[in-house]
Amino acid sequence: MSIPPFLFYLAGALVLPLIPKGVMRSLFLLLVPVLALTQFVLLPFGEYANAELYGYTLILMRLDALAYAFSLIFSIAAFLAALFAWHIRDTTQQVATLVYSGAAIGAVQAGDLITLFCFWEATAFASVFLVWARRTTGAYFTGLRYLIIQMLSGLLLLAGVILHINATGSNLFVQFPDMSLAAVLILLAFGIKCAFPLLHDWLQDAYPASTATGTVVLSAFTTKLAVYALARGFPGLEVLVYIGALMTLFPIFYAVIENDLRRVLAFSLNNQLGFMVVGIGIGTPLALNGTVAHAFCHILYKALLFMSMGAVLLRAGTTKGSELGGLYKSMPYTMIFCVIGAASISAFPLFSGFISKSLILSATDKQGYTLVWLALLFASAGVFHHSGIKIPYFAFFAHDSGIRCREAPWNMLLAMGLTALLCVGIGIFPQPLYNILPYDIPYFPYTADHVVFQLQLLLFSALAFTVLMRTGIYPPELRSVNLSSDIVYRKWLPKFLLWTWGGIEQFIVSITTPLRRESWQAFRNIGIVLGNDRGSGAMLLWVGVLLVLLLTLTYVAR
Amino acid sequence: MNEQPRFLLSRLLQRIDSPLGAKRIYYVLLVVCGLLVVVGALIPHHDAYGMGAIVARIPGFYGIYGFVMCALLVLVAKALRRILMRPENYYAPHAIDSEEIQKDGESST
Amino acid sequence: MFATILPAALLAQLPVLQVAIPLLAAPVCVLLGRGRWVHDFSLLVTAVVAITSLALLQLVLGGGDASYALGGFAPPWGIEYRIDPANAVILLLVSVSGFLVLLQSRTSIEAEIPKQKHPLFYTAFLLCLTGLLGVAATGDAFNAFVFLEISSLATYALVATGKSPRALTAAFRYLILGTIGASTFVIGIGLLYMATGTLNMSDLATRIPASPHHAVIQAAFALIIVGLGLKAAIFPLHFWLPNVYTFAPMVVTIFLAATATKVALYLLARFVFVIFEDASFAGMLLMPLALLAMFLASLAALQQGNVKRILAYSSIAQIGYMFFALALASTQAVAAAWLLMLTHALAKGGLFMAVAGIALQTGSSNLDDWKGIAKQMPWSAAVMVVCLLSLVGVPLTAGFVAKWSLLVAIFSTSGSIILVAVVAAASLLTLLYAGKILETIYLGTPDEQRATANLREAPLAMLVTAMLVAAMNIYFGLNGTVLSDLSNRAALALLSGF
Repeated sequence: MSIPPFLFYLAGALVLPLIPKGVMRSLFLLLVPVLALTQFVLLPFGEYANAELYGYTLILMRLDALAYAFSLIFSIAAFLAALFAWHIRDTTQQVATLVYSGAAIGAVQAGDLITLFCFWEATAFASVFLVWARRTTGAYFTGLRYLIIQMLSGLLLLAGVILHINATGSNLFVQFPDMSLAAVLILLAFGIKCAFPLLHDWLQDAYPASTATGTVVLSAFTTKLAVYALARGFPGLEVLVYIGALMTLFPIFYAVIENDLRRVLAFSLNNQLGFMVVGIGIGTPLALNGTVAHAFCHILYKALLFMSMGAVLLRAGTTKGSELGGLYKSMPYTMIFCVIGAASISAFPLFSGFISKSLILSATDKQGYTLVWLALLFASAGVFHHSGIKIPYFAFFAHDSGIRCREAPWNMLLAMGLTALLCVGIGIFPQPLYNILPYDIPYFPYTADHVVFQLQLLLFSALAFTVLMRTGIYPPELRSVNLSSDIVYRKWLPKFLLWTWGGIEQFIVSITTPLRRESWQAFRNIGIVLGNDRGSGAMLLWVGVLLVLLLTLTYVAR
Repeated sequence: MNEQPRFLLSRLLQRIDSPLGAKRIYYVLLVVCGLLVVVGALIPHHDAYGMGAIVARIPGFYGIYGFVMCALLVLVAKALRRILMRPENYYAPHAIDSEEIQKDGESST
Repeated sequence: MFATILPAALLAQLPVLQVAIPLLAAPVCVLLGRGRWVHDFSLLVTAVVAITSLALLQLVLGGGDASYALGGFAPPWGIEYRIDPANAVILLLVSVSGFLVLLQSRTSIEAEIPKQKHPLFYTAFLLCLTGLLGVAATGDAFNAFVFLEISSLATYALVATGKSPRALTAAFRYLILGTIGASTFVIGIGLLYMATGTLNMSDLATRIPASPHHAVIQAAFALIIVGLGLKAAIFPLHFWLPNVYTFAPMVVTIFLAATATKVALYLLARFVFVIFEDASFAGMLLMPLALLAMFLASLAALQQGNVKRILAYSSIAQIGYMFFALALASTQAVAAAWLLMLTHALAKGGLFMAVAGIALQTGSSNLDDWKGIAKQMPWSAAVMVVCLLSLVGVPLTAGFVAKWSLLVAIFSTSGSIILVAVVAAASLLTLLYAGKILETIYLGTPDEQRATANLREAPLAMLVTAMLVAAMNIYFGLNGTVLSDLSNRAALALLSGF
């Protein structure tokens, strides 16, 4: 009799407000992921908890290799994030984190579509509180945008699930055999949460808007949940190869010119998701292994990078490259951890990225996707450039900004240290990770070829950076924002709606102004439709209008 | 800026945080890159397939690819900046970019 | 269960008892004076009424419609009370709402209404309850008008007892619009009587197709829709609602939000489906209005600063969903409409109960004054979270069951994916104002004065009832079949005629 792990998180979230703030709560937050982990870490694969809802059978806990790997890394991430956030006393953030991580683990272990949908919505609803947790006006609106987009993903998923169940009669979450309308809707839903091109803006919008600790939590779950869902539902779907390739390319350009370093990390996240999506698209056992391994390592080193930037945000008050620099003097340990994270994401030999990214690259080459392979190579060089070099350089080195602050608090350093240890540990001893991958394929990343060529790629990229800096060609960090496709709903759509509404109002005013009769001028108060409180006359006018309309219609229709 | 930072590590790093130090790093990097090209040409290539096997025979392919693509990346990004860059308060107050800096803000909310 | 306990003679009287008990109890409240007895007495009466409607529901679900001829005069000449699953559900909704509202309202009434007006207040409340129950229970068209007016007049009085000086204006506006609506309605009924010679609903249903006076009947139809539409706050006849909800005493707002518009919608559905039987063209007019309601009302809700106003516009939007479903006119759609009515009553009732508690303690119902209130009143805030989630339609809440069945009904009735998409998009708008409220109460930073004030949680009765309603939202969300089955039975009964 095993209890689904998500119940621990849910129970924890309900119990948390009753625990006094301080050490007890922080310990509790560390305990919950550990307890939940024990429920499934040694469990043999299979289906466990079933339930009945709305007449359907729900499978609350399905454990196979894919689900196991993701559940494991989500639990580790929840633990590390709780350690990083030890000092937080904000109940809302803590409850939201518990519900969010629990829902993510629940979704990964969901065996059927309805359960998946419930947890999908839960992750969206819980995580928006982490965005709002910053408690500023900008964060409030950013959170609203985030919420709408995530719920849109949920709605698409709901529509797809309804259609799918209608068509096939089964609600099991397995690979979709063909691209029916239901499958397309579900793919779109997954794509939104996975930050597909043109559906990606929420990622760069919302993640930097959260608090120092909130962003670490946000980065770990939503997007990797989407990767899991894609790997489960659409492995081998060829269009994903090209979508993924696109995803690896466009963010690296933005990352170069972006000022907010946490937004650079968000672009970098998008780029790395592209690698995973390419792996899913290729669909061979090697590629899927690569995706899972990459997701595993990525959660760790991305969390590490966000942690280091979170520490900088906490102490220096900003993560804007234009305002930072010379922090190695005040925060050297944070710098070391940041460099370790940077080396991991760049896939330096002896770090975790090296042993995971190569799986995907090998698979791409083996299947003959030459252009895609070249694009991935370019993306690898690019990611080293903006995450490997730019972030540590502009935050901790570059010109001295004059900021002197304390080093990060002990809990942040410990969390970063543990994560860094894992990154390096997996890099040096990849076999334990390879053992939990879905397919049993022997792979040896440390061949002379691979090490030398990767070092070539990376160090020549570093050389390019140095040359560009020395010649002054490299663009400086400037306080700015860069436009992206979200300008459609952030600027154009509101302007368009206001313009239309204004036009309608103008039109009505221009018609009614020549009218002499006072009573007809009441039409001008069209604003009453939107809630402005006008006189009874206007109200009655609408009654009259509707009555006339209805009477005419009944006469005409019969 | 002559004050001594508290940490040993920082003091060590301060030694290279100077124009001379940066130049030294640059030269070291050049040398290492050259060495890598040489080593890359000499080692046996066993396990590459497809395109990987072809480019493996070109000495320094990965290096040149990395250098060129990175340089292109930066140049294109710089050009993109001309089209895409906007002042920080472009989306204000609906975004966080132009918000006030808060030091040690949310340490114990 | 009730069928075995109660004697058959009593069972036969249930339809009229349902209405007669609160009617007779109302003047007793005046006699009881202003002591504490009047509240307890009213509570007892509503409890009995609730049990009666539960018994009726069981009776009707078990077999056959319950019918009662008033005064022994057989229909169609006499007035008939006719209960089938459709209105039994509504009766249960109204009576249970009345009970729960009174259960939690003692402190609220004492705070908002001057002592000397208490007897009259409870009298008016019971009369309002009588009226709503009568509208739902009756099988006679003119009798429906009578009870509609009884409930309306009582409502005008109830609204006017609000503390704010604007309560009077709100009541007055409501009176004008309500009277016009009722008059339009009664003119329509009069025209029907003229064309068919009967007032009994089932008799009308048989005589209308046979009648030669087509034009008269069409006019009557239009008039009845407009008249009832005004009572049901169908866009664009909704203008009275925001002010009434905002300025009436909290008790009245909770009760009205849960029941009044639903009863009017029920009566509209009864007329359209049972009496007129073919209303598809009116549906064509009402559907775009419903869509406008969903979007515009949600947008209007966003702009409001007063929580009660936000929820009032939210109600208008939700009513838009309900009459969209009715306009679709299939069995599934009507079942969805009934589900929406039930779950909306649960969600909105719970929300207003929590709002009542918070407004009582903070002394204001402006959202700006509630920043960060969740720290000082965590349980009330929790109730608001659950009920807002139910309003949005998040899975595992009652609201989700209703939204799901609505979307399925739209798709299977019209086959149009676009329509489904539009309705789904409208529900996203609900998120916006729900998010606004949640963000403010959990993450807002209160000003100094409020933060240091020693705000306690809401009074126990209010809090416990609100939590009970919130729990019901979750219970019916997990156990969706209970409400679904009821709604299906109701829809079948409605569409198969009297």
